[in-house]
Amino acid sequence: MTTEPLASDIIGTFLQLPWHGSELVGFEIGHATSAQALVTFDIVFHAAGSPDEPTEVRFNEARGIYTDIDLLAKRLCSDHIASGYCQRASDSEEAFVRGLDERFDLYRGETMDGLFVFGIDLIHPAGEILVLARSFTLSTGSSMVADTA
Amino acid sequence: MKEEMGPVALVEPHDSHIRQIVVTPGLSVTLDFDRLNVYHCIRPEVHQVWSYRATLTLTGVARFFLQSLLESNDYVDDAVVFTGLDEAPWIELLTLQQASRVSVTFGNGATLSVDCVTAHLTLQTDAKYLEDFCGPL
Repeated sequence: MTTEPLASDIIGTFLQLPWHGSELVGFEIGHATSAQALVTFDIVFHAAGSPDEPTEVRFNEARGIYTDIDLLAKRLCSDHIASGYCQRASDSEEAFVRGLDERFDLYRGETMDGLFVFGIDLIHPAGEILVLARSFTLSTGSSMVADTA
Repeated sequence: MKEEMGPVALVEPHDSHIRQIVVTPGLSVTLDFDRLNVYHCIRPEVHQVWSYRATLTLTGVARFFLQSLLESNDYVDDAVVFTGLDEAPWIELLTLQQASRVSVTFGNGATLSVDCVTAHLTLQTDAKYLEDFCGPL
């Protein structure tokens, strides 16, 4: 039996991660299957007891992405993240999220229900990344750290 | 009937599919293409069209901008490589080129823009023959 993860669990788990001062090493946008998009971040979390090896943050059933980053500024700021945030997509005031159905065509009948906005602000002026997805998974090497899917 | 592949005469990004975008540590971005149509010249005004997988590697990347609804069946509507104010034909990217910006628009309205220093397109070897094309390119 599978159950839908609680929104509060997804938001809470994401917000608890030690984003500030951690490093965004790289990221990928692709397709997990022919029907499902996938976005992954490679993050080195800097917190007491955290390993220095990158953690993969994998966004499941990704539906949209907005990124405006300056890789040169990112490198000059040692790839550091200022903050991370998460909220229900239906509550988001982000222009990209609010304008999704106007700029793009969502599937007929599709709504923002069940989708979340996962955001990362890099140290200014390196920019930001927003991912619209249903859940996320954390893994380090071969071990699963957290799974909200 | 297929003949021996002739030299590349045209690389046409329209209708191709970008299956993966990777922002690597450092200042590089790679775009992995499916269904990139490449015209091989057989005789004057006779070409074979082959569908390739290919990787466009961009180095010295500064700004990376993407806004997209993610859809697996989306296709490239137009893709332009700028060298300063001029556009570079994609065939020239088969050798490493100085480039200032790569701009891609997708069929669903998504946009990708990457400010870079160099661009290099590498064709994979497992190409698929599509058709013959007769006429000027």
